[in-house]
Order: sequence, then structure tokens, then C-alpha cells
Amino acid sequence: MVDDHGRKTQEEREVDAPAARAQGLTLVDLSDGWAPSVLDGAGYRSVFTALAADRGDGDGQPLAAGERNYLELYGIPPALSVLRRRFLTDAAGACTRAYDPDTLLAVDQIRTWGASTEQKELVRHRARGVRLEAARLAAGAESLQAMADGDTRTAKDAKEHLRFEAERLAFAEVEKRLACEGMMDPRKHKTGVYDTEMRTAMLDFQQKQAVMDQADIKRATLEALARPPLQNDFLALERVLTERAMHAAGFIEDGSVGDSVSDPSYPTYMGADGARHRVPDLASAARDATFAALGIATPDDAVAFFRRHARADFAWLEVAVRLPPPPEYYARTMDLSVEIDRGDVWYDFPFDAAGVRQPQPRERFPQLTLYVKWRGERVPLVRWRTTVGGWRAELASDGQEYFRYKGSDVGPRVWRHIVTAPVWIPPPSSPLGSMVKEKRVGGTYVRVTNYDETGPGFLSAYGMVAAIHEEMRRGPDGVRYFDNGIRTHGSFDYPSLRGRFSHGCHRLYNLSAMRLFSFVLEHRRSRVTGPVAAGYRRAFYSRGEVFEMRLPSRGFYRELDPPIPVDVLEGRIKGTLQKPIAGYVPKPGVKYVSRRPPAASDTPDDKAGGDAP
Amino acid sequence: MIRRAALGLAAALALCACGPRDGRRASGAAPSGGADGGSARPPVAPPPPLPDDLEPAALDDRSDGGTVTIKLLAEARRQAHVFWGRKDLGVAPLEIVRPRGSAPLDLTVQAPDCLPLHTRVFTDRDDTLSLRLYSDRDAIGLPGYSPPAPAAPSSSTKTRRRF
Repeated sequence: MVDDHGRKTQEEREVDAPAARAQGLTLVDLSDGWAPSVLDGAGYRSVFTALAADRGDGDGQPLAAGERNYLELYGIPPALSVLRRRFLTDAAGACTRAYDPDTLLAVDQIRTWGASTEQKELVRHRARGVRLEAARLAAGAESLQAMADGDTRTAKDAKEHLRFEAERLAFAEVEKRLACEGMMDPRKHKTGVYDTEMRTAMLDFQQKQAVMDQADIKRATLEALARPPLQNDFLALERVLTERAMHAAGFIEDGSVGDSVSDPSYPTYMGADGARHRVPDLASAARDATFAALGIATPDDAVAFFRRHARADFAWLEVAVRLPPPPEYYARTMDLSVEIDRGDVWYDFPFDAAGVRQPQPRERFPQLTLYVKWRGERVPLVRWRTTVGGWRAELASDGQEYFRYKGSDVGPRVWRHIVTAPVWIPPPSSPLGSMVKEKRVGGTYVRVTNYDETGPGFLSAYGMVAAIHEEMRRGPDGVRYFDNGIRTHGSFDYPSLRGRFSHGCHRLYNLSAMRLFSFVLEHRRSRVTGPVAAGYRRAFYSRGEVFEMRLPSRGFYRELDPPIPVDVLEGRIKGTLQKPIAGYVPKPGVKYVSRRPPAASDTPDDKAGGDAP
Repeated sequence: MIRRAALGLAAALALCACGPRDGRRASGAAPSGGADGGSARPPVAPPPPLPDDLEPAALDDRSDGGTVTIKLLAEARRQAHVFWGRKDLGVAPLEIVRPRGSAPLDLTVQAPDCLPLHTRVFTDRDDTLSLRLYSDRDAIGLPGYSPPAPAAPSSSTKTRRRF
């Protein structure tokens, strides 16, 4: 087969799916109907697929023409038809020679500020330029660079000036890059200013490229901006097909259990051959096998693939892949267990008597490890960063904010229930400010109740899937389970996985949580309970209107039988206090109406807290 | 349902797949000298025109699961009009028939001498919702109540943008 450019490409042929399976091949779903298997049966599945294909919004309503969802960081990778559009559009070459990647990569970051500070910084920079030029002439220096390289008093100033200059040059390239890719409308942007139009475009760009810089222009962002768009599309295709292949195979090992496979302490398991084998990185292997099966090795190959297939093909397309065989510890039912190490934990109140925040550094951060028991050993399959609770500001029943230590329970627990599309019921103390938003309904913008945080949805406080931590208590009536409000759950708040605190729950990236619980359900016995009724209805007032929040369901439940043991390790307690302070602690510098802080609420939904203060 | 599968053929493909892949892995940073690499290349044919099926297909109604009926109850004398966006669905009590499992509907109910009421109905099952309408006086006991004040714009939050 020869493509439009006369190159030899992969030959494709249609095969019978059962025959392919009989040959030991795995069918990797390339269709737009794909969703992680943990969503099967839940009503949210159709919303997920519509979001992934840029067809609907978070409520399942159609998107406006030209509107895009960039939700990969929130756990919703783009569908293949979306990648097809990106590849074919970018192959048309609007960005070719439109920007200079070398100028972008000449700096490590571009500092940005709010509007008024930015103007002050620009004025300061210009004034410094005038001052330095006078100094250069006076010193008879050849250039500012020569001054910067010297050891004169002005060297530091000159270096800073040159750095700023380089950042401004790079900034101009960022503007070109965002415009040529269609992320920013230059007519709405003021050149040279990091205005709302450009910030929004930057955030869209970062979310499109799965860069976690949150509108800051750091090195990872600059590298993504510098890459040709087709190269970025190719990286997105790699991420998407990795996810598809891992779900198709029912794999989870992603190489996260060790720093480097060449490290002698990298985890191993005992094989039937008596030798020790390293826990594999099946994500890379599955991705490579899928690319090989598709005959895609370069961005141009991907363009050719997407030219061969019309959008309609992505209603059904699958690819038969010879994936690596599963390790020998794999079985339909696996002896899984979980360990959550809380890492370094500080119970001390983080402010001194004068209200000055005290440093509470952590060297070890919380980690979740999934194990399988195999030949008498615990073999780690994945090890991911997670979160634990800490000091949080919370609205008390007297309407004032206090600090409260919202810790994560320590000791043996179980995952007995996995909840897909979980719903967070806001406790009465939740602030009302975030409960109303504007939304397009039936072609016009209206104020509506904001269900983002409650879910079900990717912005839900519990993410798109959660496992309830339950404590088993044995009594005369047998085993009873106690829910203290702690969950392991996905989270839209991806920056919090980089060292912030939760309200006690163990957060994972939404995509990781869906991969984890899809894997668990495929390798453990479970029973579908289905939607669990919540029957929640609450009315509140906002700016002359009444809003009702209705939450009919708590989510789609499955029960694991038997439950999976979860051991939450205490971690290393740092500081003076060895136990957390119970109840509310007044915030430094705040005058309180109440003499004593009110009693703190302790319901399970209070523990999650979502994005509430 | 058995679907067809696209299967890559091995031999010739393996050759083309193995060589460049290593290079591709190492190509994280941009090439120097311009977005297209800057190096001299043989002239290439212009890319073919863009196909006309790049934009997403319209969201279907997912009506294969049948329909659900949502009953909205209110005293007829209240003359409570139910709106979906600008569209007036009628005066409650009324019934709305929607495809089962389609999106929830955010409705606004407007009645004389009552505050606008915003509520939501779901389409996963048949449902009956009694509309509780509030006068200015009734609303005093609601959470968040404050005497009417000049309106300030609220933000639209499709996703949370934090700058």
C-alpha cells in the first residue's frame, strides 16, 4: 500500500474478531464508544464518551459548534476521532515556520504576573534598559552581554535584563504558537500582555498537551510549545493508545514500582522457573505493541492512518494486537491488597502564637501501592503518589472559618464498595457561593445550580470512581463495617497530587483511579448493586432566585467479595505532637463571635469536603 | 456484538516500525532551525484537502432505551411556567417526555408573585417532582438569604480555571 506521498505504509485488512482472539490477539478498542470498564453500567458512561469525542458537556448536553473539551488531565482522554481532527488539521501545516522553537527553548520559564504587576514590571524593565545602556556607553563595553559577563557592579543587573529580554522574545513566540494552532484569537488579545484571552488559551493548550503548569509558562510548557504540533499529537496518541491497550489487556503495571529497571533493588517476583523476574512495565510494552500493530512509528504514519479512516470508522474500529503475555501471577481472581504510606506527617498547628506560618517540610510523600500475593510474597504492581489529610480551613456552624486537622485514618481497613460516578453530598456547612454557575441551556445562558463539585462527573469531589475505606469490626453479631468517610478516589484537582493535602481522602489522578478500579473489578469477584438512592433535595437562595439541588443517587455501587485489605501506615510523625488536635482551632488574626469554637461535624461527606474551604 | 478489526500485517510493517521508533522516542524536544526542522528537504506534495468529517457528529438522543416521563406538579392557579432555557414548556402541572438516559434538564419555573425557581430533572427513570414555589417572604428562611442587593456577575465554570 502506498500513501499520498508515495511512501510504503502498513497494509490493513479486516479480520474476524473471534478468530483474532483465538490466535491469542487482544482487540484494542479504537472506537469513540470506548470508556474504562469501571464505567460499564453507570449512566455516566455516555457522558464520558460524549466528552471524549467533543460531542457533549459535563451534563450530557451538546457542545456548541467549534467548542472543545480538553479534559485529559481530568481523566477523559480525547477520542480517536478528536485525535484524527488534530492530526489532519495540523498536517495542513498552519504552524509550519509560524514560530521559532529555539527562541522558546532559550529560556527556562517565562515569568507572568497579574495585569497591574505585569505593567509595572514592563515599565521597570524599560527603565533598566535605558540605565544599562548609559552605563554601557560610559564603560565603553561592547555589549550588554559583555557587561553581564564581567564582574562590575552592573553585571547582575545586566544579566537580569538579558534574561528578561529573552523571556519577552519567547513570549512573542508563545503568542504566535497559540494563534497558529487556533488556541487563541489574536483579535481578542493585546500583544505582549498575558491577558485573559492568552491565559485561557494557555490553559487550554496545557490541558490539550497534558502539561500540569496551570497557565504558568514553565519548562514543560515551553517544550510542548516548541514541539511541532504533529509531534504533540503523536504524544497524545501514545497516551491514548496506552490507556486503551492497558484496559483491553486488563493490565496495570506501569513501571511505577521502582526508579529504574536497572536498579538492583527494583521489585521482582519468583517465577515458576525458580528465577526472579522484575515486575514488568506493561504500559510501555502494550503501547509499543499497539503502535506496531497499527504500523504507526512516526507522526506521518499517524497522519496516513487517519487519512485512511473516515470519522465513521471510529464508530466500530478495533485493532488486533499481540500484547505481551501477562505475568504468571495473573489470574481471574488475584490476591490483591493495598498499602497506603502516609509519608511524613505533621500534627503540630502550622502557625506560631504570632500567627506566622511555621515550615513543616516533608521528605516522604504519601504513596499508594497495590500488591498481589504470589508464592508467599507481596509483589508490588503499581506505586503512585496519593494524598493524606492535614490542616484545612473549614466553615463551622457559627458561620466562621476555623482550622481543623482532617486526618487520614491509620490501620487496617478494607475496600468493600467501589462507587462509579460517585456523588458528594454537600454538608450543611458548605458555602453557597460556589453552588450557582452560569451555563448554556437550550441555547441561552442562565444561572443554574452547580453540580460540578457534587457530581456525578469529572469535577466531583470524589472524582469519577471511589473506593470506600471501611473498618471491619467483629462483634457477637458477626462482622460489621464502619465508614469513617475516608475514600480512595479520583480527583480533578491534579495539582494536589504534587504535595498538597486532602480532607483525609487518598486522591489519585482520575485516569489512574479508573485504571486501578477497572483492574480490581477484572481480577476480583464483585456484584453489581447499581445506583444507590440519596434522595437529597436542598433549596437555597441566591440573588433574588431560589435554587434547588437534587441528588437522586449516591453513585453506581459494586460490592467486592471478599473485600480487599487496605493497610494505612502511620508514616513518620514529625514535630512535637504525636496525635492530632481534635476539633476546631481559631485562625490566627481572626476575631470570632463565639467564645468557644463550635463542635466540628464528623459525617462521611464532611470528610471529603471537596473544594470547599 | 462482534465488530470488525483492522489488523496490521507483520512483515513489511515490522521493518518500518522498528527503525524510526527509537528515533521517535528521543525526539521529545523540538528540532532546531524552525518548526519544520529547518533542514533542506526534498520538495513534498502539498497535503491533500481536509476531509469534511473532521467536526464531531451531532450528539444522538440515545433513544434506544425508550423514554421517561417526568411529571412536574404545582397548583394550576399558580400559573407556573416551566422554561428550559428560553423555551416555555408550559404551565405546571405538566409532563415532559425525554429519551431515557439523556442529559438532565435544568429548568426554571416562573410564577406571578414568586421568586424564580431553578431545579433539575433527571432522565434515568420516570420521576414526579412537586414544585415548591417561594414568595419573597417564604424565602427569608432559606440558606443564603439576604435582602435583595445590586447584582454582581457570576462566573461561568465549565472547568475550574485557577490562575
